[in-house]
Amino acid sequence: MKNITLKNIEKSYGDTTVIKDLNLEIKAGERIIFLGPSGCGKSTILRMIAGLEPVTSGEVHLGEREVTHLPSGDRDVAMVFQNYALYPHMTVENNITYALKRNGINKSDRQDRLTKVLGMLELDQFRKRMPKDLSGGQRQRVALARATVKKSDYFLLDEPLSNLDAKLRVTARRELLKLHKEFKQTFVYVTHDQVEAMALGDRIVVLNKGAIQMVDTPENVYHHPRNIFVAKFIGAPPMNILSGIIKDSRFHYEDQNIDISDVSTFSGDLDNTEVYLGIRPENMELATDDDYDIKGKVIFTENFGAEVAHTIKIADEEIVVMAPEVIDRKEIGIKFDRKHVHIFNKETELNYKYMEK
Amino acid sequence: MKINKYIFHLIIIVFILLALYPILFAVSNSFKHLSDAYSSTISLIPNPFTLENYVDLEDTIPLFRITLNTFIIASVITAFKMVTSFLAAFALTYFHFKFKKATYFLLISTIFIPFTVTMIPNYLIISEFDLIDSVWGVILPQLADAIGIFMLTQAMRNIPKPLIEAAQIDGISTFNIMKDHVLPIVRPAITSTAIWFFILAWNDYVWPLLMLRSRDSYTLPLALQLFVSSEGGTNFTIAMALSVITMAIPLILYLVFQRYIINTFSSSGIK
Amino acid sequence: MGKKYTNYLLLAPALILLAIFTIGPLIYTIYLSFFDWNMISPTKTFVGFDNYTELFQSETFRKIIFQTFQYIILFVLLNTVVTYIFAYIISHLIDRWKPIYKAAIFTPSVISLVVGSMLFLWILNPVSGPVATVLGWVGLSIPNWTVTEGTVIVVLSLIVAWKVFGYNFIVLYSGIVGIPNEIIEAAKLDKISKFRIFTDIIIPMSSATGFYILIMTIVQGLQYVFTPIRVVTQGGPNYLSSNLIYHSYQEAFDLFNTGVSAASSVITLVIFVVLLALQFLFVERNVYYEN
Repeated sequence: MKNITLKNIEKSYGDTTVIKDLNLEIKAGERIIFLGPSGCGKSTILRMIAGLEPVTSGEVHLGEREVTHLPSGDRDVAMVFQNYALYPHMTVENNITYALKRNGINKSDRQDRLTKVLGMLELDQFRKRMPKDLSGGQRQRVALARATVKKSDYFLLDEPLSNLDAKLRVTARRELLKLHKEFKQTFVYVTHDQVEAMALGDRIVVLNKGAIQMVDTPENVYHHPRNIFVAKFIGAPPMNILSGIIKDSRFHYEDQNIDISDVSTFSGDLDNTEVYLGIRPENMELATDDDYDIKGKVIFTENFGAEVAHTIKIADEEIVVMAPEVIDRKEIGIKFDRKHVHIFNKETELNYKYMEK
Repeated sequence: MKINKYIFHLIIIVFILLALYPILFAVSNSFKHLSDAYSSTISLIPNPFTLENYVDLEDTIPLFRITLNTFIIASVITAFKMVTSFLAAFALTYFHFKFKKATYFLLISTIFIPFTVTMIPNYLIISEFDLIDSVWGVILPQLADAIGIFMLTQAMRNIPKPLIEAAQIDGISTFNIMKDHVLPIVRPAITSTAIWFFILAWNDYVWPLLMLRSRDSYTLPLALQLFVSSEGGTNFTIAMALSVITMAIPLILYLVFQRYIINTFSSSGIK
Repeated sequence: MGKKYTNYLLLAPALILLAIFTIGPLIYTIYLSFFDWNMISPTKTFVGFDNYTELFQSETFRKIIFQTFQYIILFVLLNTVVTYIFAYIISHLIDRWKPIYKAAIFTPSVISLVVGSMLFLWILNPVSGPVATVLGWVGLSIPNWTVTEGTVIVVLSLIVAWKVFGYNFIVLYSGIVGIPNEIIEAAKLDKISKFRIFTDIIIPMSSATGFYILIMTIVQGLQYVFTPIRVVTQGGPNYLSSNLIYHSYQEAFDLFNTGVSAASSVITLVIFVVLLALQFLFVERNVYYEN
């Protein structure tokens, strides 16, 4: 009913194609996050769903309705804009009820919806204020309130928290979850912040250069990245990637090698293949004794409080390893947690886990 | 949706054609014989095409002299207005002094004073200097203009402060900051304001009307007025030729600097 | 910055020139409005407020005040209301050829009003002009407007509108375009009609520019229309196309009643000051609508 289907969507401006043959099924009532670096087309996709941007070709379906060429006003979607787009000449109250009034919702219904949303978002005492007299966080809540009172099945959010400071963002995230729990709309959320994506999403759509890289749960996106882009884009510091060759079930990197026969995606077929090997900084350990897989030189360390990131040079490559405390040694051995080692195809950069045999 | 858009385009295009029609009307009739102008008022294509109106115009009025007067008046006024405005705007932007805001406000408010309030005293001043019927009488009261101060102050305020402060720290003199830093950055505003002043002075009618008496000292708009007669008459096509000459310079300037002018006025909001 | 008196040195040329040719004359005109003088005679007679009372008691002057307001209403209609609508259509309701439209619409603004008056006089000539000819085909005619009460004011206002429209358009257009696009999109998404977007969002959010244009249209329009009045009708027939500005001119330079002219100018000035004060108050109060 409330699902969204994107079929073969293409978008180009003149000769430049920004979205190429995009297909996606968004389930009713789920919170889906579009995540990607700036310029990846995530906002464009959202705006095409909203009808603010015409699609060059392909189809947009909202539930059973095909809305590809429907003006945005007829799609019955609610949207929160990055800069909130509040009407600066209207009070908080009027901002929230203006569209309801113009769309013929009667006064008592308007008041009910207003009272409820003001309560939920703790905006009661600001109802007569003008937007310029509100703080950033309050404005953001007014924008949420305005979108909520529409009672639309589709809730589109375009980087709604990016103008807030870090602390406020955490509170605002909780509010969003609260709203969604109450109204169960289909949530489409655009962000470039992976923490936000992890915290809010049922599923995450990772995008790069107008193409979908991976669609999956936050868990899988993090632990089982589909390709090198996802592996490197998600996680801070990002996944370490080493380029080498497999021989006799061992990954050879420069003059060192690691036994990878325990890695789940490894099979004998990969012998004598050039591959990328990926592992997250937190899935490695610094060895104080001789029991290690590979060794290198510590170049510098960064203290993050809970952990310390060690940047280690192995041959020409630099990798990052997390350790509970600073280990003050020049030469050091590193142990790999085999469960979290990924092997990527050299040409397609795809994780072998997702490659068809 | 789509149909709406076509209707809007249609309305706009019809409106523009109506607005531009008088220009086409003048150009086309200036190349017609008088008899054709009467017999085929509607047609915009002169048939046969003739230059006789322009030739006759030269015999009717001292055209060269009049054009030269107009040019001198417009150029001198523009040059002075730009210099006085630039200096004042610089002082009002980069100096701090008592009553600065009040001075600015006083200067800007002169924009709104109707010309009738100043015309009698200025007339008396010019006649005191015995400059009635001379181009200098037209020029003298128009050497400074608050609009120029406003436009250039706006442009200077848009220059990031650190740019000027960096120059000050490096010990650059006020004069050199003005010449090397401010002037190049506000050049687009200077260009379009100057063009606008030139067009205004070129088209000016009221003050030259009070100042100039003899045909030899006339400007183009004043000369054109000689040909006005609601009953028509034998001069119609000649009058059109003079209209074309009067319009030509402002139109050419506008066509050449169109982008500059529109951008500057978009951001200013002052006539 | 700079030496101690540099700022005054820089300000001096503009300040001195404006003092001599604008501010000084303004004060002198107020002074003259209390005297009876013919501009030539060596003596001026102090008459107190006589020039003002004479004006307000004169039937003609009351007519002229009334006509001044007729002009104002026409200017506001043609050069603010219609212009606003055009600026909205071109900024938001179409998506192509905007630069060409803008450039074309501005074009008449660079042309001399004497030329404009002359051309309109011909184009609208009731006997042989092109408009009369075209209307003649369908059996219609245009009145002899230069001598027809009411119509003459409408046509003279049209001539001024023709010149001023483009300038006002450009300023209003940029005022409208300055409204963040997201706000318009938010309204569209909420199914607000084009008309309501115009009245509920565009107008309030560009109101500072709108109000400025409104005042400028009145202040400049009344002065601009001097040219077509002088060129086409000389205020006639029987003062029916005159306004305050033209009246001051006529009293001073046709009739040499310096005092009466000065009084009439001072009245004009007072009206302008009131309008400006209104604008100032309005913008002060609503300045947050824009930027």
